[in-house]
Amino acid sequence: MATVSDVPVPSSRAVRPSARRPLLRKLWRRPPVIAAMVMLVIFIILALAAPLFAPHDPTALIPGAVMRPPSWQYLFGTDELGRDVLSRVIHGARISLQIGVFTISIALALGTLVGITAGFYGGLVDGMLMAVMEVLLAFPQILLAMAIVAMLGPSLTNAMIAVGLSAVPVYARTARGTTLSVRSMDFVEAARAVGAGDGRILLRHVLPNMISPVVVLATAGVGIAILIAAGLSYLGLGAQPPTPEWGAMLSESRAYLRNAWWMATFPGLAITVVVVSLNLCGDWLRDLLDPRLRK
Amino acid sequence: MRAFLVRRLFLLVPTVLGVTLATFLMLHLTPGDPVTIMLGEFASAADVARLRVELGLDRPLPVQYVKFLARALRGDLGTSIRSRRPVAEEIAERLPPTMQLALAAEVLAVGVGIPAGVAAATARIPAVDSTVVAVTLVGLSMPTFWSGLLLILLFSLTLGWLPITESQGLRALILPAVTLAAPAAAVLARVTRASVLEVLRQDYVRTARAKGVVERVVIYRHALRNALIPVLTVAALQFAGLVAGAVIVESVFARPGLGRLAVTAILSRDFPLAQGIVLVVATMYVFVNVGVDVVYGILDPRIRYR
Amino acid sequence: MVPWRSLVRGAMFVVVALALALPAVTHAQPRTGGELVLVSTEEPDTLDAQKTGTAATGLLMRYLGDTLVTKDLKGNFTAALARSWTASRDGLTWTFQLRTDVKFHDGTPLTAEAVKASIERALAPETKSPIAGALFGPVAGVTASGPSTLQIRLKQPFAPFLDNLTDPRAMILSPQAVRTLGDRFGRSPVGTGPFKFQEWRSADRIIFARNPDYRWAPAYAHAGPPFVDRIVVRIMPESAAQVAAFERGEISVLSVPPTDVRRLRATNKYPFFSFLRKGVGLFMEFNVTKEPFSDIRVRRAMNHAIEKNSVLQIGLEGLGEIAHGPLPPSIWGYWDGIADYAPKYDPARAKALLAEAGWRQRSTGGALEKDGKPFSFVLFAAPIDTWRRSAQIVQAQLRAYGVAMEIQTFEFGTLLSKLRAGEHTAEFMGYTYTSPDIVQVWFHSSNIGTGLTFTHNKDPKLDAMIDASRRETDQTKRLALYRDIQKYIVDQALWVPLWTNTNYVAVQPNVDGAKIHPDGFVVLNDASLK
Repeated sequence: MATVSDVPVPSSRAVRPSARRPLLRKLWRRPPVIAAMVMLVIFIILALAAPLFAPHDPTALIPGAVMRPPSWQYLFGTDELGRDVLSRVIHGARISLQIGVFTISIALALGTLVGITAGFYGGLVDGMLMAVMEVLLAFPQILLAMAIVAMLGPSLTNAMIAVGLSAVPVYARTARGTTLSVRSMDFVEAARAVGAGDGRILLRHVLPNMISPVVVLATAGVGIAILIAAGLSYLGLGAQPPTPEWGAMLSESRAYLRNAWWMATFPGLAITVVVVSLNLCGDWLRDLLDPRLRK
Repeated sequence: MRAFLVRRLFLLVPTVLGVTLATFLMLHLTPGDPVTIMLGEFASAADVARLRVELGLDRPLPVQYVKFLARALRGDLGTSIRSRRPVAEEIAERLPPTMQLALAAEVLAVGVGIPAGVAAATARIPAVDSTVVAVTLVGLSMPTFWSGLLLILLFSLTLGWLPITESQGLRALILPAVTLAAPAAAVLARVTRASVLEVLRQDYVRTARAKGVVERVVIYRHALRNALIPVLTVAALQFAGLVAGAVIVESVFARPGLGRLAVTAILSRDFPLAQGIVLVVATMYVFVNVGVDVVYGILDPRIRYR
Repeated sequence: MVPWRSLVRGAMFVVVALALALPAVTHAQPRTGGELVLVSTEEPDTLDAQKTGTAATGLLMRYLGDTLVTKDLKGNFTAALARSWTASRDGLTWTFQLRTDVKFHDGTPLTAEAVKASIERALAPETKSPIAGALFGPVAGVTASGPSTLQIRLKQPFAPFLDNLTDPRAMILSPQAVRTLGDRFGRSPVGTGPFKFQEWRSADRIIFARNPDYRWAPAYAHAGPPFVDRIVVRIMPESAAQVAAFERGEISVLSVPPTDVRRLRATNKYPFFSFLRKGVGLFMEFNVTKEPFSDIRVRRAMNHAIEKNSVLQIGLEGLGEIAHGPLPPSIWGYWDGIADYAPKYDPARAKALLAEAGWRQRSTGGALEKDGKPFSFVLFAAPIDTWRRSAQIVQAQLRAYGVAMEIQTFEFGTLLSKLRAGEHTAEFMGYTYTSPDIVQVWFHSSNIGTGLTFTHNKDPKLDAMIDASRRETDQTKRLALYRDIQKYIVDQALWVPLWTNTNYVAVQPNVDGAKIHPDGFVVLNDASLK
């Protein structure tokens, strides 16, 4: 699966130094990023208040409304059982948000824990932890997720766990990197000399420095998580019927492609729009926060 | 040079071992008793005992691992529970179509992505650059299981140009290869663009320009050659990712291949088969990565002396 | 004077007449050559007729093998590998006179010894035959009393005997091939049929080639080898892909999924056959050893709770009939009073029964609960489109009662193993069979764990009724026995029968001579390409 986080895209040919205040001014120069942020806000609102916005229950079978094309009554049409596709897409947003938050939380929590521990204590602990991480990184992410689902059984929860776990090594590596670089800085020596404990150093120095790389990772990461989880659901390894998860909806639409093109179009469009928006914001954040590009 | 090679290959062994260990542990980390998982709760005592002995589950874990490894090195990956055929045979049967697809996608990704990236980086009109950036953004955000469906809808169902039912031959390869290649091409285009931009900014390029050599020659001879090294690395690394991505594309186009086999194995809780596939693909992945590293080291002397 | 003009005109007339008549004459002789492409949603688990549990294999065995006895196009018994047969007065000894000109695909001759070996293999416990072994019934012994005389002695009269012998899974296998190939026989079977096995490309296709030595076809087909060179069975799990392939001309004969029947018929391009499936197309079956369906009141409640007409209309596009009991109207032995006898759709009654069993809703629209545990169960099913749709409809209907049904799909082979092992609480299943003896297959306790009694129900009373129906040779008495069995099964609410579909088979216009056999398969011996 394509990862955006490895590919810095220089936003323009010449890069200007950035500071906090011109942040908004930078934003105005990038209308696509504004649009992306708006989309994400809409996505989050729809996700959080799905029952309010969805005209129908996403699993309700509307009698006599089987496979209707998009119309004023059913904006996205209905599916093979007579369910309103628009309502399902909106509820699907809620599930996608859950996926994004859940998987990134797992990856962040575990990854940071592992990475900081490895970076801080070094030596054997570092070697062993990172060896495990390297082995996990040796697997392509989707394969790792599939293997975890193979162990736990197909379900949406297990798919989320699988995707979360498969993302841990990347966060661990970043956390370790930051920890190492902070450890070697002078002020840490100074702090220790004054008698600051490990915990304090962690909190006041390591964690703040980790925020920017992690934020960049996370924005892309949510997009990837949604894509992989949807992919697992598409294969039947994730969300099960009648859950209105976007990947599962695409899987169902395949059999009716000829008769009902709308069943495939709208869920896929939703995924793409969300992931594009996440990637745009991720790119922009990286431009903002990545010290390498600050020349 | 030799030290570098030795160092790199030295790292290969523990990684592969780690991969085999992780795969081996798949069965044992699964909640529940392995045999029950595979045969069900009400299996006859005779079957349970037989499977236990067959898999060596009555021996201590390290012993099991060693036996697993020894068998794997001999090419014996166990027997599929579903089909009662050797796992290695099932994998060997399904590997060619997947490889075919991954190769075709790789060719497409390289053939389209790299020129697009170069064009974006060297274009005089900023619109070209923006278009490439925009298109690649969508390309790597679109799930393959959607783009594939759309392509089927357009080219097979509406226009009727391409088949959706043949599983072999060149015509049947076109749509799946395009679908699989799209995100890879998008990433490759971006990497190329970034790499070329980076190189174009560098001193020796400016020097060449100052000498008055024709702009084109500057670009193609000096910049491209250096820009392409990291790009080709990424392209090669992508291959293994394409094999993994084939899982989904095969499902969309109903192509028989390793991906579909893996999904069936997981859905039927056919552990020996699932394990075997994970092992083969992951090991291949490791080898490709190390191989690319080595080649990169040969091509770019700066890396070797780190 | 020679009337040249008339002569020439006359000659021209003759020439033209001949020219018009000749094609008609030559067209009477079917063209040999070419291949027919069939398609199957599921891949066979094995091509060993005696070891298979999938229906797909049974269908393919019609082309690969022959049985001792078969049925003609009117459904009457007719000769196949056995020229004639007699039964002793007590119904215990059956003597078959075999044809002497039959050879297996590997060249070995079909002798009584060979048939004996084949049947004994089906019966042997080591073979663990899920279906084939049970077909022969309570066999005491098989003897080859002459080079082409076979005797089968039964322990007790077995009414379904002859019927079962026509099942394709009772086909005669080459004992020589079984010996040489061992376990590999299932991937490379050897029979006596009009086609012989050529190749099996996993998950892709199975290819059969014409058997040029074939001369022993039953009376409903021409005696010689088939006209086409090959049959290719494509494996395509997706019915949408099958239909698309058919419309592009890539498939010769297609069992059309309900979603496309009306559209394809409206094109008027394809000859269509239709017949009511010989079997209940879909039923929900309960594992009575597990909660919550161990309680008969709950099972009965399910029968009242599900509104079957919606399932038929939405799941099947209305192309079939609602099923009420374990037998469909298309199988002899069906009791036509079952429609009235069976539980009707009655939500109030369903709720009352559930309440009686201790299940209550704590809040309106909330989950049904008993002792603090919610009513939720997993339904196992196979990835068949009509099943998937029907399952979701049932799921939605049950939700209104506070019942949470989860659907888990398994590929057919895996599904069967899990059901055999009793891992399920409830499952979706369907069947195709030719005789009412199917009740033994589904409900007799001797099949628990080895056969298809997925209810895991041990009921001596039902067993006795089924055994009696197998012993009774008087047809009128048999009908009464089957009536009682159907009533009992419905009383016990072991199933919720849902629907029986009408099969629609479409054929390419360039295919000639394909016939539908009343047992529900396409006869291809006489098929040819125009």
